[in-house]
Amino acid sequence: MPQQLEVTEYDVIILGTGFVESILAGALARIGKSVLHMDTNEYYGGSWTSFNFQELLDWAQLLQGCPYYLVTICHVEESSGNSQENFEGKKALPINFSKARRQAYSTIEYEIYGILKQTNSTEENEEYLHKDEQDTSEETIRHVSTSLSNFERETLAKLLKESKQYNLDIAPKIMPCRGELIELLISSGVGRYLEFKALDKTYIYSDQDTFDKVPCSKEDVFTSQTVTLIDKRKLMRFLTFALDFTNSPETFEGYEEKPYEKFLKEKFQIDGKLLSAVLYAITLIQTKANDVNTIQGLTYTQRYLKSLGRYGNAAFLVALYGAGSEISQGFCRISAVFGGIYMLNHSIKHLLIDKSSNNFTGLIDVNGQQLSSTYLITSIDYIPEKLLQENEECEQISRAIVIIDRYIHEEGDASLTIFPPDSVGNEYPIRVLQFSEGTRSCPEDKYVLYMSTKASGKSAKEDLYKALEKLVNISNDDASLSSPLFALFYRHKFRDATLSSLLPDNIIVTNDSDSSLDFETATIQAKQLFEKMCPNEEFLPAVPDPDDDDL
Amino acid sequence: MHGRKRVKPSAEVEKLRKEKEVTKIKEYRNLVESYFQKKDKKEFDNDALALTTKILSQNPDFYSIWNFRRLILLNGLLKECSEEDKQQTLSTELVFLQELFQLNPKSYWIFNHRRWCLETMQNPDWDKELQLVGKFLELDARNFHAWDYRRYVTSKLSCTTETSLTQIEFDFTTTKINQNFSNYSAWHQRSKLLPLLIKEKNLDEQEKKKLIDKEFELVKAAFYTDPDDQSAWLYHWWLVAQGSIISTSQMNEESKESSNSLNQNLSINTSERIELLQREINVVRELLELEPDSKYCLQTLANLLSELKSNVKEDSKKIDDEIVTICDRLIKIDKFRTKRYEDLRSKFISNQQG
Repeated sequence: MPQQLEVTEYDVIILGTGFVESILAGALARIGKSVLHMDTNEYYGGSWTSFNFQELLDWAQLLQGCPYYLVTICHVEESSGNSQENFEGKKALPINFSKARRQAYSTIEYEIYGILKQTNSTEENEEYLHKDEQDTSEETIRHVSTSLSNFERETLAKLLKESKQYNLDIAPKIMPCRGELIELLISSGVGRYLEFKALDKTYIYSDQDTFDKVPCSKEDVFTSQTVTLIDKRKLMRFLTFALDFTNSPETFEGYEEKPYEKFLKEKFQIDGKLLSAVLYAITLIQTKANDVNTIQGLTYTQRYLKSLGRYGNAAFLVALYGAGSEISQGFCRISAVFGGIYMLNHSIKHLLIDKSSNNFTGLIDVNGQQLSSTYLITSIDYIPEKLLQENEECEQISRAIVIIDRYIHEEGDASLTIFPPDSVGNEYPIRVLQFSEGTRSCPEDKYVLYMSTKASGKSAKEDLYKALEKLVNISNDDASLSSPLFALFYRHKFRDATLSSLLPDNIIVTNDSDSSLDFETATIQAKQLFEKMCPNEEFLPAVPDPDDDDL
Repeated sequence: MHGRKRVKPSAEVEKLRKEKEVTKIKEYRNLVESYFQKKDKKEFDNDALALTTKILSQNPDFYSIWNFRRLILLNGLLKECSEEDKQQTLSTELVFLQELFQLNPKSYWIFNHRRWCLETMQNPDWDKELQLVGKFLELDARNFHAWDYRRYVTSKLSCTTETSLTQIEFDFTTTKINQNFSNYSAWHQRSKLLPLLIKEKNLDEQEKKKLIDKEFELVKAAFYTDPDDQSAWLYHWWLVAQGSIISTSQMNEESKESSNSLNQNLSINTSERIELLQREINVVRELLELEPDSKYCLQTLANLLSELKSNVKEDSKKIDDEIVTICDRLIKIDKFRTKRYEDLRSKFISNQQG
């Protein structure tokens, strides 16, 4: 007997448990709206989720077109081919979720690297292989490993053995210590459900194959051995100005619309390595330097500087156990506390559109039940093709998830490494986050690298491979570097459905994750969508704390 | 859990708080009243001890109470007891003091009483004290009470263990300065340790010069990073002055040995001194180009030039002119100290006329 919902009418139905949808679910339930929140996936987070190793591998294979019965996750029921066009006098538009998901990703390639170092005794290795024969992952090994060498097969077996200790973000992001998201987490109380580690080290790649630690705070500038005395002064002068730039407009007068780079060179004599560090590691420009004007640049720099000092000498925090999935779940929890109804692993067949008003009225789920609501909030994956005008020019992001056996640069919970444009033949800056066991992203003796850049070449691998070669021992047999065990390259689209004019007014679409390093733009979108829907309501007001007896 | 705004208490809550406060004050006054009675009657009993505990928990800066407490202990618990009991009693005192530190980590009297306890007991655990003061400086690296106490503890420790802690303590100041160099206490501690280090390590001239130059490098990095931070400049001034003291004392020793070579030695030392002054003058001038309005930078330059003048014969007029210009600039940018700069300026103007 399929599960039927008793209540079939809601203020809002939300499809997808991604970051933006989840914030909205929390915010709407919090002010008393009735919320039904559904996800076709069996996990939270949508395209912001995190996977264990086995799930990640399955996910990659699915996207590569591998039939779903060969993998253990994502049992998506495809929409039946005979699409009903009419349902009780309304237009019934079929949803093809898994097709939409697949189309969002491209150039998916993964590599498994053999353990060449003979550090383990052969006995132990054999034991690994032997154990895994009875293991459930045997199926996966057999499927994946037809083309693998023994060494590679050994790596795969080890990774699968520790699979559950991995929380791998497919859209990894960090959080500035001062910004929209952290204030929201604090004010709404959602922060109580989460744990964080500080990301307090940034490195920048420069020519001659070196990585310099980027000095951000006064202490860093003072102790840095790579920054000359004169540069220490120039940098500090600039940082002091930028922290409070709105109070000295005369300094940037005439430069407002001009490139930030020009301003830094002419007004603060910042040049060379220092300029690169300011632009790409402190201002965190995602594009080419010329695309950012002085006002934008100063705003980003200031945001970075303001983030310092709040939680030690770190500008960013990393959410433990996979950021996207954990934070999304935190907001879903607030929603559930205030009466939101949750259904995961639940497919939607059709959206219903009123023929005369062209408004959304409801949907039909996998059990054929009709559910209706005043508003529909949805990730773009649930939008029927007929309502989409796909923008061919939409931004694409190249990403890589790499598991390595030793830290890069220095030991620590989390670090950020920047490759400025043209430093390894890259058109746009490449950012590399390194997470350790401390962030609960991986087992104790492993590290995870998340690489990302705006897409420019033919594939994600092409965009990122040269940078990876500088970080790990992948092809040049440099034993001083750490060795990769696994690398997954993929590209995903940043689709902006708000541009589609075919959408009914009461369907609100959330964007994919963008190329920025943090959750700020997504948090702002959630807030704006909420304010548009409920103009006079407070956005996620504080939840009364039952333990708060502060009298 | 951080950054939550405190909600302004309602009038009712505020009234409740006031009422609570009134009773608290009344209670405190009663306690103090009974203290005076006890003190006058010289009642050094357990009730008196409990009374001081109560008062000190509320106000650890009431030093008369501490004195009374010591009298109670000396005339009561510590009188005619075994060493074991003494140790036990004073250890309990230390625990009590540790609780009070959480209320006020900057009270002279708590530190004072702690010293008394440790010195009165037979087996004080100085290692534990060092750990404690390390924790203090972790929480607040600029707590000068803690730095002072650290000097006290390390001197006791090096006495009992007969090993020098100078290098370890010197490295400790490096760590603290690297974390935040705006720390008068840490620089001061360094200035105490550097001469000891030179003495203990028995450094020859060249090694000594190398060590001192390293100090100049460190402090240079600090005032280039933040020229408005006075603490680094003070250390720089101390370093420059130190150079002159070291060379003078040497000169005196050598002059005793052989009066024949006095002139020769004097000229060598003076030339080294001039070299150092000129090097530092260049460093400061370079910074001044980037920060023409830095008052510490200008002050330092004036100091260095004035000492240079007393060491060289030539360019005296040129140096005077420069110091006068510096004073003029300082008078403009540092209004609170104009008279001081005018005074300095007058010395070099009159020199010119003379």
